[in-house]
Amino acid sequence: MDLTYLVPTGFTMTEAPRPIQRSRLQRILRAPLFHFIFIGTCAYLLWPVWNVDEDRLSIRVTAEDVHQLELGWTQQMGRKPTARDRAALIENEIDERLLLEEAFSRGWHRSDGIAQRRLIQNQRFLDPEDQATDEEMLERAYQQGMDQSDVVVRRRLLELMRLTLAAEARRTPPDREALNAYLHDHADQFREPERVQLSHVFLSRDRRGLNLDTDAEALGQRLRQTSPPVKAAVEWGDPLLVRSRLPLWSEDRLARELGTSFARSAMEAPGQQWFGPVDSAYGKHWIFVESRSEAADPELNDVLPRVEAEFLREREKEALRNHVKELREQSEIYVETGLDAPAS
Amino acid sequence: MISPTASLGNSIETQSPTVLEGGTPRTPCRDSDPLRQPFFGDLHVHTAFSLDASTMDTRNRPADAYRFAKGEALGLQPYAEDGRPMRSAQLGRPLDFAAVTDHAELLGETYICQAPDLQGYDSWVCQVYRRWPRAAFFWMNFQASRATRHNFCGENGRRCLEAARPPWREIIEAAEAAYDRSEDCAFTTFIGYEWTGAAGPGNNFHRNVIFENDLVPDLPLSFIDQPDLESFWKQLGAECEDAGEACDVVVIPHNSNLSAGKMFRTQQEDGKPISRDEAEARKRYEVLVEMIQHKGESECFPGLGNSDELCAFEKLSTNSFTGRYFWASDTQPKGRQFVRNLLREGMAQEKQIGVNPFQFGFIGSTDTHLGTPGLVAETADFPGHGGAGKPAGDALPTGLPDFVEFNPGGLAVLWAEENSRRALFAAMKRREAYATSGPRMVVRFFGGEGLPLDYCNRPDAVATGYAEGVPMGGTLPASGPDSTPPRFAISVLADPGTAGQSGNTLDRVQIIKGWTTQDSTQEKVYDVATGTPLPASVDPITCETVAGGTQSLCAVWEDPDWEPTQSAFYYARALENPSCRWSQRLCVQARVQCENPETISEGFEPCCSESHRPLIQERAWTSPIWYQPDSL
Repeated sequence: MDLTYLVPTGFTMTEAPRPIQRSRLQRILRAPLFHFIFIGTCAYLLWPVWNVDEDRLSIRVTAEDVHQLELGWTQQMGRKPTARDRAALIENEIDERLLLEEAFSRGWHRSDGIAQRRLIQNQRFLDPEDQATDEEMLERAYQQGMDQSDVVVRRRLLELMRLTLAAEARRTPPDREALNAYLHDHADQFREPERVQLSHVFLSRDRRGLNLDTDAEALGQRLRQTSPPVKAAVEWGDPLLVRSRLPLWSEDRLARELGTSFARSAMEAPGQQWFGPVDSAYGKHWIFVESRSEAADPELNDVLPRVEAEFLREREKEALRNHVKELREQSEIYVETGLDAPAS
Repeated sequence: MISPTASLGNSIETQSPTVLEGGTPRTPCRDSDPLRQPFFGDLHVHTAFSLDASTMDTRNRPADAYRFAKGEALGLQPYAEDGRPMRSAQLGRPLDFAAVTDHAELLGETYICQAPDLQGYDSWVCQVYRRWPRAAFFWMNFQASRATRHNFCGENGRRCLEAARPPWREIIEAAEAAYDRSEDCAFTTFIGYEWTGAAGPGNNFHRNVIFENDLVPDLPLSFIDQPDLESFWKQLGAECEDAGEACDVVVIPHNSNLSAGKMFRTQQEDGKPISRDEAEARKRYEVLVEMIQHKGESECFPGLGNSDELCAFEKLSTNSFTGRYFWASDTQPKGRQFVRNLLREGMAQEKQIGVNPFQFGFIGSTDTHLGTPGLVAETADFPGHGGAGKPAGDALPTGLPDFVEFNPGGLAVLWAEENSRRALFAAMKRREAYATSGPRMVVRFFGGEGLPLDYCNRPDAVATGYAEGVPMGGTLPASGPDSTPPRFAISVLADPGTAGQSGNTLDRVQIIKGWTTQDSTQEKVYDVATGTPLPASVDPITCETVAGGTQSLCAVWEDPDWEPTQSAFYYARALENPSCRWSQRLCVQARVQCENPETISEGFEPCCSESHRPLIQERAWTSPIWYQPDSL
């Protein structure tokens, strides 16, 4: 190491130093040996930090990689990726490589039978006449880096990672408190929908054709003027394969029976009076909403199996997400850009 | 016998009153209609536990399939390497019920080949499975079709049988978790599996097994261990109905169109007629048959014992699984491949041996191998069959996603008081069921001497139907020589459609009659109600539709050719107006113009093949009503 720059100006190493009066501290601070030791100590202490790039996992997605991802996408989807697709492709690629690296560091590429057999088969495929043993074939594959490049080996290792993380996530059964919290946080998903219970008088489009509108108006007038018992009124209409008094049904359920337009109108209809005419897939209706139940949040006991299943599924996903996140934090990730922006 | 299942659900504190279904109590349904309601479902669903699905990279498991049936979106292969699916699907409207029916055969084998910690994982078969999934698909199925276990299954196949427990347990748990036991009765599941038999290589013998409740055998029965139907029925009886618990089961044959006529035998190996016992066992278990699914429709074949041109509907070009792969195969359709021919044969058998072995009600289903029950819409989004169809690779398919002759499959419709296992299963047992090729048409069908002629105008029509006749699936009582001909009341309501797609209108409704004569059987198709003379129309070149047509049809029909001494069956077939087939929608989307070869891009060649039918007439088939004279 060249330490001459540490020598005070005006001196050369060959000249005898001129005695100058300094404090002991100053002398120590200026001593080359101190500098040597100081720099050495710093270097020693900082080495792990400087050396970080050597130890930390480095993932580099090159412009060419991105280009290949885009090509693959275009081939598969029949269109170019949007900017959003492209970003997702790159993120996927990073996550995949991180998980793969972990699988490699766990040694699964060397211990997993499927991966091994695949590599041996690849080698044998390359030269079917070769008499080498399986072990030799395998070693050759590793030397050629085939374990890193083979699509099946990669997919296999990724699947192993996914299954292992999922199994870990399912190991402890969730307690009631956690399930209650899950239900609370996902109330929308489990909420009982609003429902109406109604009766209806139906006029068939097939039967009445062009008269349907006027018939419907006339029926409405008659219903309003005479206020008949609902049970009697429903028989004034045309027959229909759908019941005239429907049970307490949600909008979705009504739509499945009579179409979306009818269902929407039914949810908006005022209660305890004839309302109409309402269109359905089959004609026009006058409806009488008898009762209504508001949307409500269920108790845990009523939806326990569903909540438990969803909770565990969510936990599996989260375990995978967290794991990839940790891997990302421990890694250096570089993404080269510079290719033309994809069509959006 | 597996006791009431799983940790899931056991801790539910049910409110009284409760009903016991199998081993588990449930809350009675809030909506129960004694006059019965139609429930739409799918009883043929494969997930990643089926070898032919997993070798197509299907990763959806039973719980995923049920979530899909209930209306959630589901990811589909191909998957990005991190496991994110590149495609997804969602039902326009949820199903009312579904059953996951993974193959019993190879359930353990498939599991072993995917679990590195299990013995057998490194066997060469499993290696082939992982390395060349399609080769493994053929080899493993070939072995299974010979009722042979692989060596890695160990002595007596014990290792593979043991390995089948976890997936079977997961199938059960998924069904239990997804079944709505609350008073809403919003969704019902059935525990089931597929017994995937074969008669010689490639001749389809497959049956779905559907259990009534959660009291089910320890393991599904496979063709490998029960290699013929007789031993299968016997063992099923021993492990289910005769096991002393409330276990009950129906067996639903499917794809008779791929059986080369061997699915339903009338002769034993030695050429003698089948025994009465065999006919009775079949009648006991096989109360329903699957009329349509991805791999074609099985009602009838044009010209094969009929002059019914509407039989030309979703037909496959081969008569067995191997027909597609071996050019030398005999692909000629055989009579006993088709349900209508079988119904006729059943009556002939009844005359000979006193039992009708082929007394089937009808359902449709999908046979999805993607874990997507009920995805039957005839749209450009049909993702393919995902099993024995076009192989799915790492990439999304270019062009048509599957063989052009495959279709999105149909639905099973059950007339039941409520949406519960007990009510739906009872509907299956009494055959009060019908099949649709996908649309949710509502079809009622009654038969009886006393049905009033004004049935269609009566507000109490349905109650009258039950009071004065029998519903679809039933048998009319024998009549004396001077009695009047039976009447049939048929009413059909068009599919109301969804927010995204309006339902199609109706073209006509027909009654198909089969009957016995002195020494043969006959059949005839009667048009009993037709829609308006100006129906909706569709342009096959653009798939654009012109609205119009009839939304409901109803008729009372009296058999003009009735003979009280002849056995007969009657079923109804309701047809929609023509619409664009899924394949044509894709062809139109890809701007294929057959007269201009430059527009036919890769994968779209089938658009212009001679066999491609751009339009279809979607339909529903009701279970038959049988008439049986006393003289039998």
